[in-house]
Amino acid sequence: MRYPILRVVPLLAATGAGLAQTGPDFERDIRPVLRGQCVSCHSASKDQSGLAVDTLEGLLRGGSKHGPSIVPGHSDRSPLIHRLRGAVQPRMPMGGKPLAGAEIDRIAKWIDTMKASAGGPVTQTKKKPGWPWTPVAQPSVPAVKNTEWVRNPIDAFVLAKLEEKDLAPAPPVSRRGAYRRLYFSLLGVPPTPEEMKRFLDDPSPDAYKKEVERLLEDRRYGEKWGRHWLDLARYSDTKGGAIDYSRPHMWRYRDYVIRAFNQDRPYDRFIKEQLAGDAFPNYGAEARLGLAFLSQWVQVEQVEREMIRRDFMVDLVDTTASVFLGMTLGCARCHDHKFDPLPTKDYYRIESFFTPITVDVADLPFHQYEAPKIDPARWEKSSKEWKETLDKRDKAIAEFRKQMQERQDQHRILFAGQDLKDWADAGQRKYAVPGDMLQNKEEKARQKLIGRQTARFANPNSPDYHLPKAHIVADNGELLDVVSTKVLAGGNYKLAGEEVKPGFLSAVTGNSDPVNLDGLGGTRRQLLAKWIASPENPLTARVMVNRIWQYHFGKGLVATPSDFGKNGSGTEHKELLDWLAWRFVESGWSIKEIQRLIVNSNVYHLGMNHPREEAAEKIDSENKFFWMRDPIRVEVESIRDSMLAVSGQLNPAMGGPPFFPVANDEQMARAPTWWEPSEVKERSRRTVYMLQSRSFQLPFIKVFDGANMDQTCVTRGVTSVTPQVFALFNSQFSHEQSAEMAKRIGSEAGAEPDKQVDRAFQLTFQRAPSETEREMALKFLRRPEAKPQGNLTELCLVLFNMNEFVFLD
Amino acid sequence: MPKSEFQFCGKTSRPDPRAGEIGRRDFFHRFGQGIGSIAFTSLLAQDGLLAAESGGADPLAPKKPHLPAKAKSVIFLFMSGAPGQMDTFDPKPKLLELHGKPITRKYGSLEKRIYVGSPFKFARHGKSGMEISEIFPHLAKRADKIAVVRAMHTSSEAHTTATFYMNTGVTIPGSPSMGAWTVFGLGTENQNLPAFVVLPDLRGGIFGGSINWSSGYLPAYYQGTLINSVGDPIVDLQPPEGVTKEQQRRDLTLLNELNASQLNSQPRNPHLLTRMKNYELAFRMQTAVPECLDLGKESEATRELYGLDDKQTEPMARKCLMARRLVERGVRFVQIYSDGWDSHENIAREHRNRGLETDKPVAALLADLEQRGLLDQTLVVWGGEFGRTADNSMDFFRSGPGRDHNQNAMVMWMAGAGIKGGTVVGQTDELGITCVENVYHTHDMHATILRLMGLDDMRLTYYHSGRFKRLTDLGGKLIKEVMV
Repeated sequence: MRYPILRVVPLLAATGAGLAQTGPDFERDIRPVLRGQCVSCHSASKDQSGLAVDTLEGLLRGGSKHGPSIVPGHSDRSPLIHRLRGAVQPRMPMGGKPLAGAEIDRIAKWIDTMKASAGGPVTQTKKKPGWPWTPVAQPSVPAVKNTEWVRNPIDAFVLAKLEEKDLAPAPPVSRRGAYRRLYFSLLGVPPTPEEMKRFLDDPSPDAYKKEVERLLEDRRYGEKWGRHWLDLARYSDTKGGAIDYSRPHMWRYRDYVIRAFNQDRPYDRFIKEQLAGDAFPNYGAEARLGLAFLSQWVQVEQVEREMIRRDFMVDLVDTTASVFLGMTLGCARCHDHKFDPLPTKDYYRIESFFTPITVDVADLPFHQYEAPKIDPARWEKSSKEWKETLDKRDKAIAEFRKQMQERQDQHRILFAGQDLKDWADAGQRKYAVPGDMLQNKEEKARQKLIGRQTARFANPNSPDYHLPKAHIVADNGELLDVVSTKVLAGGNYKLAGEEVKPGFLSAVTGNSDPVNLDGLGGTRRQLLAKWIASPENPLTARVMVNRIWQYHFGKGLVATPSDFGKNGSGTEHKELLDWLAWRFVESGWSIKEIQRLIVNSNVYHLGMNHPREEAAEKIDSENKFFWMRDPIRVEVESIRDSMLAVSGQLNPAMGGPPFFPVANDEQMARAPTWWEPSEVKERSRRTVYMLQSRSFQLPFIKVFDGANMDQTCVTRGVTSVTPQVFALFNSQFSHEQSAEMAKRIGSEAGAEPDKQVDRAFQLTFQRAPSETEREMALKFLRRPEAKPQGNLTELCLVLFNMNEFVFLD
Repeated sequence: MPKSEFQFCGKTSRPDPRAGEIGRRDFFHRFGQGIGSIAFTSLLAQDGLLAAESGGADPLAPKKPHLPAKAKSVIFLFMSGAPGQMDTFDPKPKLLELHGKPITRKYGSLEKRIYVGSPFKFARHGKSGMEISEIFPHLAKRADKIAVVRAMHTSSEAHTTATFYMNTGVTIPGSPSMGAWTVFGLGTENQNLPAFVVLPDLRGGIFGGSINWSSGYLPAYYQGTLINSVGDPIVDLQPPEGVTKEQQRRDLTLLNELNASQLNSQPRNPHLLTRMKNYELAFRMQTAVPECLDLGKESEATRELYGLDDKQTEPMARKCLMARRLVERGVRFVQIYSDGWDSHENIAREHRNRGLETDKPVAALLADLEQRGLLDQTLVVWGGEFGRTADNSMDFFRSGPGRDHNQNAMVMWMAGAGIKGGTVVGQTDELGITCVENVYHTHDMHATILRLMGLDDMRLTYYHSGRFKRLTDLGGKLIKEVMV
């Protein structure tokens, strides 16, 4: 295929503002010229003579002295042109180089082609924006020809489109394949061979349905689905940036999320807890744990304090709009959104809800559903062990330091440096011989290690993990006296303009009125939270059901799940999405209810082979209409968890501080961070409990498209790159798990190669090997071997590396 | 353009058609179907054939540049910490006169500071008479090969954000680095080696870490590969101890056979074939990477030229020599980090040491590339993340004068393909505090690097987060004066 020439998407002006025009375009052709030449004096933030020429509104309104700068349709009557041509003095730009004649002509032509609106004032919104800004109503379920195929309304919506396009759905996946899909979809691990057998042997027609219910109640469900939310919440145990301080209590938020999913907490409540958990006392301490959602921003090194605050605010507004509303509001930070009805003012009106916010680490006792209270014995043991580990280390460090100090003291000499007179204390004039000159190689390495162990920066081996504290936010009313929310020109805090009051998105409310803060007890964030978590909000439910769909199918109905705007992917499935959103709200915002519908649908069961694929491909090459199932790549957490599950090493313990994985020594030595790995049982827990460090992501996680947590992660990549081979085929972890799996097979299947092959395939794929596979594997096992179980271990490694291990049927 | 979605973490993006995603899928789709598993296995066995066959559809396959290219590869020498312009390539005699004189100005807060004259002597070199500091005696001999851009400036004064700025064009993490952009635009010439290699300074980390060689919102295969110049070059490139090549080969053979027998199970899944290919490629990389990085076969003369046997120059020599071997084998973008330029204190000692560590190897790199005919097709760029001040805080001045951070003036040089040697571009004020003439921003450096590689920065775009993005989103004009 030849590469088509890149099509440049013209930046269509959304600021037509009641004026129809052809020819030159304000945004594209005019504004850049005016911005370049005029805004140093006449901009929204700096309007000499009250004139701002960088917006259409500003030009139409004109300055305080001479009235409107342009008269639509009449360049000859427009003061802007007179000034630019010098017909009226002083010529503009004053004291600057006049614009080129051609440029002025273009502006004149633009004015001439403008048509005055039918009347009425110029307003920002010309017409009511359409879907997804329209209220969610219950769409009727469409009628289809092939009624037999319809298991629930989802199927009807999808099939109706397929029939319209003359496409037929692919035959379903095998029963075994469906069961594996379900396990990976809901729990993120494969079933055991025994579970598979029980399911396949169950003749009852609702065998599958029963399994769905069972798995939805399995606590491993929260570990799988909580992780999806953690991606969105940019969850990390560290602050990021070069300094990458710890946030040692973040695990409580992680556990909170897992718990919320396991309990199927109503999504509206889940939103309110995370945005304003401090304002809903009846939700209890649990709600305050949700507040850590607001403390996840990357704190990078900045010279100016204002910049640090700006980074924080930008993170809050962008993330909130992206995660809950599926809008790229961030674009409006510097300029009115070019495609969606999101004026810059709205950005700062939303920001205003966050203006008084401060972050804090506060005392918050563990409640009854948290790890420390659920299993006090385990908690006690792990906190005691952690303390002992650190104490032991500190003692060893002190001992080593004392030794080195003593050695150094013996070598004190007078330092013959300059400017000794500047040193007040004569004692300070003594400089030691640099310590490292007195150390042998091991001691030097030790010294370096101690530096890492005791570093304040990037040191996640924190002593604070077990303290009953939490990352929370609170409002500080005093902040409001010092900072007000102002529209910042170009997002630059030095260019503060008009002050704004908190308000919701004008495209939804139809106005830019501020919210009423009178008599509000507690934080103003609660108003934002309630507005987002309201059934009337057109975006919230649509965005969330789309995400649920996405995590089941690998792509959303809207393929840009955090951009429901004009420039996002859009969707062919508005009715289905609306029906799901309606159902979602009606079910009491139950995520599990939507999942129940999805996994019980025929669409979910579509196979990956289509008898008339070529024809279907011609009609819909991207499978937008779901005529077959797209490839399903297992997420990296599930790859690692599956290896542990299959090898029998998976430690099912839930919750608590993160475990520290083993990292390649050399790489770790050069990473900005360092940690001591946890002991083997602890680090054989599910990947969701692994330390999430911003400055060092484990290569295994990274190469398989693990979430980068510097920003909200909307969609994981699905790439197949060479370093994945190194991770899965060469890493110590893979080899260890292969050896463990071989041991397990040895004890479960005995020494007979035939049975071993069977068991190996059953454990890994929950199926018997095909005849060819059996032959190949047996031939492989029957080679003479150098060490006991060597061949079997290698076979296990090969199975972990098979396509089938990372791509489901 | 169809609204096909290519998705990856943090964002969802439509592919730039030139990324080859669509083409690749079409190709594998047809390829995967039309071929029986037995035929396929034998195909795989013929090493290299598969790579050649699928070359045209591979996202890393060489791509035609937008414009005629001057350079095929880039070696970017990143002087981390930021060298002082007035101590390297921008002499300021006036500053010497002011040395020790106080000035009260705002640096963070309003404070009393002291002017610092450069402790280094400058002399004119080459036909062009370029002024170069005494800390670079070897490089000075190659003055006519390099073009110095004196009036450079950037937009951050903090190490991390400025380093992001230099590498990705923005201060916020999440955008692709210039190496990733280059590989995205051009692919790579050698499929057995990573296309974009980063050689870190083993003494310290790089400000901001992997964000500096990240693929950002581009697909993951464009990200840089960190190669350690000592020890294991790539994480898990080699299997654990005790695993032999023979064992790996027979495991791979079994894996190929098992995978091949299922290849037709998912006709629309391009990954099944890609993964199989990756295993063969990885196996070849296990040999190709160490071979490429093995400096043992270099001649005595070369070792001497780079200073490989001198303790002080060895680390940089090793990296420079590796860089030559990498570009020689078709690697597209190599970035070398040299740490320790952040001389707030005692610049006389610190910068001199940095010179002693890097001067000989860097000059050797230019000489070596030239003698092998590689300098005509390799662009070499040198610089830090920002410049340094003309003055110093009182405290540091007392203990040994140094310089603090300055974003308003910095110096960079370029050499090699498409570069007019012996040129000095731009002027800073008489104290080197700020740029006054022919002023260029780091964005302009990005545009220029891309152009020399045959890429038009305005056309090198990727659709992400609602719009087409570029490396030079925040600006970028060509530094024409340095270009032939």
